[in-house]
Amino acid sequence: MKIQLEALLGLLALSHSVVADGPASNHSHSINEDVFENATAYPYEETLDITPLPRNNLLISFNFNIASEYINVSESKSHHQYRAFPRSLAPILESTDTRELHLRFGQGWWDSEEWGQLPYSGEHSGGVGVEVWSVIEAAGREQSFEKWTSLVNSLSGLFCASLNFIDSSKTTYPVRSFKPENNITLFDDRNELHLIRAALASEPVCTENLTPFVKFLPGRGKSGLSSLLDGHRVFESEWHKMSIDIETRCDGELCRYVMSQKIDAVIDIPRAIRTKKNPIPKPVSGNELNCDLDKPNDAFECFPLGDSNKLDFTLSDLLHRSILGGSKFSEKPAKVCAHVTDNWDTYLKVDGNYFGTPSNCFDVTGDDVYDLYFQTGDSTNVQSIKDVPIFVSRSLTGYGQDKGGSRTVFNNPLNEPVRLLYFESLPWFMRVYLHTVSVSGGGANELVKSVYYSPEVDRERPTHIEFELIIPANSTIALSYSFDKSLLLYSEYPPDANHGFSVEPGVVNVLEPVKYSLRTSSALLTLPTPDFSMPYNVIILSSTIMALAFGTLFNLLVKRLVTEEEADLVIEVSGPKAAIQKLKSKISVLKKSSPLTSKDSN
Amino acid sequence: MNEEVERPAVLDKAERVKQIIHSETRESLSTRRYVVLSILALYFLIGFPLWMKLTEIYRAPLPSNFINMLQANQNIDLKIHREVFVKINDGLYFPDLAESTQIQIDHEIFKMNQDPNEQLIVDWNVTLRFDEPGPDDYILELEIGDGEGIAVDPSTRLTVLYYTLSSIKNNDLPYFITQTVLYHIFNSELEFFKIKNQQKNNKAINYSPKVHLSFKLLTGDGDLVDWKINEALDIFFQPIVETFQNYVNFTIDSEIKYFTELNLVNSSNAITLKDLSTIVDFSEWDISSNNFNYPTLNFVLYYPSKSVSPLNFEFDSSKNAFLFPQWGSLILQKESLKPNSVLNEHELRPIFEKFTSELITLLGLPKHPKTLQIRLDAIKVYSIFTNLIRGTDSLSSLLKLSKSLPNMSIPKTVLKNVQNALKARENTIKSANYDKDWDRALIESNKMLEYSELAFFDREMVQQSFFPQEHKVAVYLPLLGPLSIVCFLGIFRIISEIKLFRYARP
Amino acid sequence: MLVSFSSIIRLLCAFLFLSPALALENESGDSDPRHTNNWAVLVSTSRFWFNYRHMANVLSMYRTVKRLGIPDSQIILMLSDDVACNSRNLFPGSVFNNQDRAIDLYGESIEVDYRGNEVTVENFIRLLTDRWGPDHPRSKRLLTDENSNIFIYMTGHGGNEFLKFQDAEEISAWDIADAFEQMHEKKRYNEIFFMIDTCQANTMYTKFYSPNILACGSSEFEESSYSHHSDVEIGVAVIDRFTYYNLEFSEKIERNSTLTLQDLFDFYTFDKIHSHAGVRTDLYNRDPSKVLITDFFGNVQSAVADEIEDDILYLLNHKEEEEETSNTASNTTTSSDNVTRVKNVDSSTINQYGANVINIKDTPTENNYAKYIVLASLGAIFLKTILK
Repeated sequence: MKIQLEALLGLLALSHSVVADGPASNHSHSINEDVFENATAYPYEETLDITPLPRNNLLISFNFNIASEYINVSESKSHHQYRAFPRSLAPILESTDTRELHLRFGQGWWDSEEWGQLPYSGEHSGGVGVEVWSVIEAAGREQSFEKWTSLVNSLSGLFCASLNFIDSSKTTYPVRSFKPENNITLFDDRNELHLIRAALASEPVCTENLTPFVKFLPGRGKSGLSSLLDGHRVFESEWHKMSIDIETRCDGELCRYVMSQKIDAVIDIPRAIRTKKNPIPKPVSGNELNCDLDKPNDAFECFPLGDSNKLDFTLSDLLHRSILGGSKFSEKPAKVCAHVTDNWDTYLKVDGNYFGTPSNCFDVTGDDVYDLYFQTGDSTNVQSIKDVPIFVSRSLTGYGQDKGGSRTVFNNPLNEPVRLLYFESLPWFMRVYLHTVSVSGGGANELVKSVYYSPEVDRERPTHIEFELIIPANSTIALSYSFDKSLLLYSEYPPDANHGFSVEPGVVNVLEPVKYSLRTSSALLTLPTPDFSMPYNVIILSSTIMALAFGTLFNLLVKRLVTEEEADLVIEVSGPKAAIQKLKSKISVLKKSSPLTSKDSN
Repeated sequence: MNEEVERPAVLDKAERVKQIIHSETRESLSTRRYVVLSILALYFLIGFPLWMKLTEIYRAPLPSNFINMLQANQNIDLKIHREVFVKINDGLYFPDLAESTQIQIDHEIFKMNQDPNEQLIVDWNVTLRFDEPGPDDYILELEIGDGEGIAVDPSTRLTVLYYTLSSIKNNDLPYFITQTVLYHIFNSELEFFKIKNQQKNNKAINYSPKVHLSFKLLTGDGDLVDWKINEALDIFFQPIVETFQNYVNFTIDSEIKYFTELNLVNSSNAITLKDLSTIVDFSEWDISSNNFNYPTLNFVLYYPSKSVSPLNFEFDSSKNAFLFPQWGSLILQKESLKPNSVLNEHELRPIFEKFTSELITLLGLPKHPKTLQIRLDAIKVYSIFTNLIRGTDSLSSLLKLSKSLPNMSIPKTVLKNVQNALKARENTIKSANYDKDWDRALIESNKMLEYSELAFFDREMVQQSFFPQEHKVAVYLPLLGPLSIVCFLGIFRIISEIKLFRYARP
Repeated sequence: MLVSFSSIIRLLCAFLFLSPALALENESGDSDPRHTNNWAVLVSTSRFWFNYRHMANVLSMYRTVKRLGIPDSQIILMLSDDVACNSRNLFPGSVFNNQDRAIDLYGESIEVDYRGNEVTVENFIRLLTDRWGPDHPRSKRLLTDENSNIFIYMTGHGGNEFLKFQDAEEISAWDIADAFEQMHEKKRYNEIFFMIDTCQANTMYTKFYSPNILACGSSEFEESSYSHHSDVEIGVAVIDRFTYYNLEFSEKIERNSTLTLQDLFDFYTFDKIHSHAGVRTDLYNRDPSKVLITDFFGNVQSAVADEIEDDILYLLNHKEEEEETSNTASNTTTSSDNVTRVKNVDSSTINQYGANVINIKDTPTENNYAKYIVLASLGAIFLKTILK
């Protein structure tokens, strides 16, 4: 039954640079007489890359690489030593037999047209919300799902995110997308490897998700490049992503975890500088306006220009923090690189002194406090952006509460065709009809090479579709399909159900001509929701209906039909009026016979 | 005059009504009656019971009498009978020693139980045996020496009682043996079971068969340091792990944390013991988080940062190990660590001695005698005892709970766990009383505790997640309300019809 | 129980005169020997941006207990909505409880255990009674024991004996009382201090029946609790009166403070809070004037100096050496019976099963009309049989 898949698709080129356990550091010896050995540096590396983007934006990319100690897989060791690798994460990976783990937290929108390709070719940028996928070693699919459940629950406690909401109705087993690039090691060859993925698109990302990130690093945010990370600034950016990638690298029987943590943020420079002066956006006062001198301008008239292209700022203006020394834990010093054109002047500021290098890359060491200074006369002159091979946008179409449609538009700006994989995981209450898939701008038969379709099972499994598409050069195609919306059970509606239900972003993995990965935006699906405030009305309404239905039936069967005159007669004789009359007459009789009422005329 | 005219009209009407009433055929009347009766029968005999059955909450029948009986008689059936093998050296032979000593021992225990302060809460006894001992048995060797004295071997269960020839003459030997056995070898064990000592020891954690030990090196600075923890654990700590393996299994990890500072309010003041609770910042140090579902004990070796070193202690700086009840231990060093220094095994040895001593206290082991095995034996039987009590407590709490919340469901899994718990208890008693296999008894008593905890903390027994009463009414009201009203009104109608019939009888 | 004016005066006087005595006495007399650790459960139950102040309330208490020493691992923080990184928030990553914006409650290091849709009545009851499935992470459980003092703080919109969760469901005073009884049965607390800031808050604690619970609420039956002030820039009210004054009191406290709970209760007046704060002490067997605030708000992780035996390892190692010299040939093998061999797997074989890759040409296109015709004919047959 198994169908042979084609050979390895190297989709995700994970660019790690792992530092092997090096020899003893060459710092000066300590004077303590008992010590005749030096502490070895950790397999740890941190780098910071700063790239100005068009329109006065700045991309800041942090990269932290950590490796754990080697463990011998065939021996069951009873004690573990944690040096650089965080102690809180390793037991979770071990107890759930996770060989690879990828976590993505993100918010914001990346403007592909202005800013070009996502950093790292989009491999480390997930969609909006939280995404997690992992390779788990287990005997079969049920066991792998159990371990997956245990994994996401433990991660929800560690990362303060609602990952525990991931259950079988949100989990997919990707077939062609998300395939790991390297070979993975099985620790016990009776088991199999399972790739499992889930995403929560409506999950907010805030300081409580950043805090564990920073806690994983040996410096804990108090030294090195991690001292720049401040939730207030990272989350005020146009776009930000936090990612963790953990792989198991083996050398024979010795295996260790290699972790790469990346934080990227795009900051609007003039806005950040304004926010530092005054966080509240108030209109600029008259004398600070930048008026267009070519147009009438006086005390009463001003045509304000946009933000100036002359920029003069330091990194601490944007991040409100400085670099507190270098990383003492790694062999190589922490590296800060600015990817600027010749138009920009970049200096490292230490103790009031400015240092520049021809490559604009700086090594940060020691205990000093560092800052980076940037100056340019024309901020539109930046390094050329890498062309994006494909632009994708997805939207929900249709109207009404019973059905809708989804339309994904792919725009290929290149001069050659683009082959890509489009992965979608849709919730079960969005019942997709695969036969309604239509591709405009070309025939479906030419553009869609293959489809993997795993239909939904109510409350158990989402719809899982993976299209392989070829978009011709310089063209735009639209892929659309329709779906039915379903009613959920009363208890399944979340609080504020009228807000809608979020649908995960679709994942596009470009295979040819370049390897690139991007996500569409998430969608908000409005399902027909009941009015939760009217249970009593519902009860009364259904009581009435039941009463009418059953009452009528009962009366028909049980009561005897007579004509109206006969009925009137019967009622006159024995109905309630007659009974009251009898009662009245009885009372009047009693009154007459009572001595109190007798009129004694005296 | 009018009355007379009306009378016939009224009488006429009454006659006509009677006619109308009787104009119905017998058949149609009986059909109607049968329909009513059948609807009522359906309602009461089938509908109502069916509704009750379908909406009832499943509550498994728990063995309440048995559990209440267990709770009332705490461990009355557990017998802890120890055996001590006596070896008489020097080729001597005392024919009536066995009997006379046993009588004295029994009497001593009896006296203990009579005294309200010293009363034992369990059936405890020790028997002397004079045959060949096994490798792990308690051995008492009688040897002639220069005076009278006792020597307890610190590494095995061997005790040597020295006596002189005059002791034989004075017939003191039974007394000496009794004293040795009860007040030296088994002293701690007996102390555990005395009624006056039943107040819970706050320092130790509750027994758990698996305990995680986390060794941490904390430094206030950010300079790279290291310690040869793996080697130290292999060399020093492994014997402890092996010695304890029948009582508790340890999983161990170690880590180094930087930038962990103390909350020193005033660095010139000397740090007292009381200050420790405020200057240690567990929150900032972030060392307590882990995901194990068994207890963790933390052992922290702390070096202050350069800026506050050397620390000013009020106490002796060699007595720098502090115990945090149920949490772990902290060794506070005076001086800071030089950058890049590595603590080797030689330096770690005294640290580990301190940690081991604290570990023993944290696990609840007694301080005497010196022999670790004897202390382990004592805590082992006491843990068996307390496990059974805790398990029984859980089960009786479960019973109390099920009685006080009648709307809460009690799923079958709970019953299963309760039965498993009781079975495990039975096995414990069997292993302890008959087989004297204390390791097995400990395992079974632990199983009992686990099952009873599982039974109590069952996921399903949350009143909210099941059908609350108000919702039941709300959901069934539209169905049952109108039906009931229509039916009952119909019944009234029938009754009034019958009255009408009687009235209309010719 | 409301605190009467004369008793306030008396207690204040007593406090002033006795405070030096109290400071000395605290070590032995009034510290509860059974209390070894502290936990805090802080719950906000409201959703939507305009309930910013409820999140600020909870975060104020979070800040207080954290500052006084309770570690994150012993605090359960439940925030029902995200206000710090809400797109309406002018100050991303910050939550303020005062329009002077002096203190940022969200800070840089915060651990939120339950957020968003996880804050439900069911989860709250499960948290208190510790009835979870096996995968529930430890950091989200209330791992208290009989030596724990728990501070429980709830805020949101409430009414007579109920509290509204997420604008969708309610928890009643009976539910909480039953949960506390379950905790008492299982010896999951030493003492509980229950504080609630909602409208008609005092009705929520009227149904408790377990011992050692001290409760205080912000307003009486048929009284509302009010917000303190709004921040014009943020656009919503930023704190409630009751919690504002709690915070004002708590900011004066340090870890070694000797202020008592009675001082806190005396600090509540109608003029400040604009409602009658209530305290229930009948289930509590200690006198609040002798109970330190840090007994609930701080963390008592007091160290004990213990007698150290520093020769245990020596003895064991010594014994080991003796044994080693005698047994030379016993080599323990560490290989286990289960064979675990390390193997490299080609990742293309992952998830290979069930991979039905279909060519779109092969998918049959259904005819909608056929479906309708079948249904119509079935319907016709059905109707015919009925009407017959």
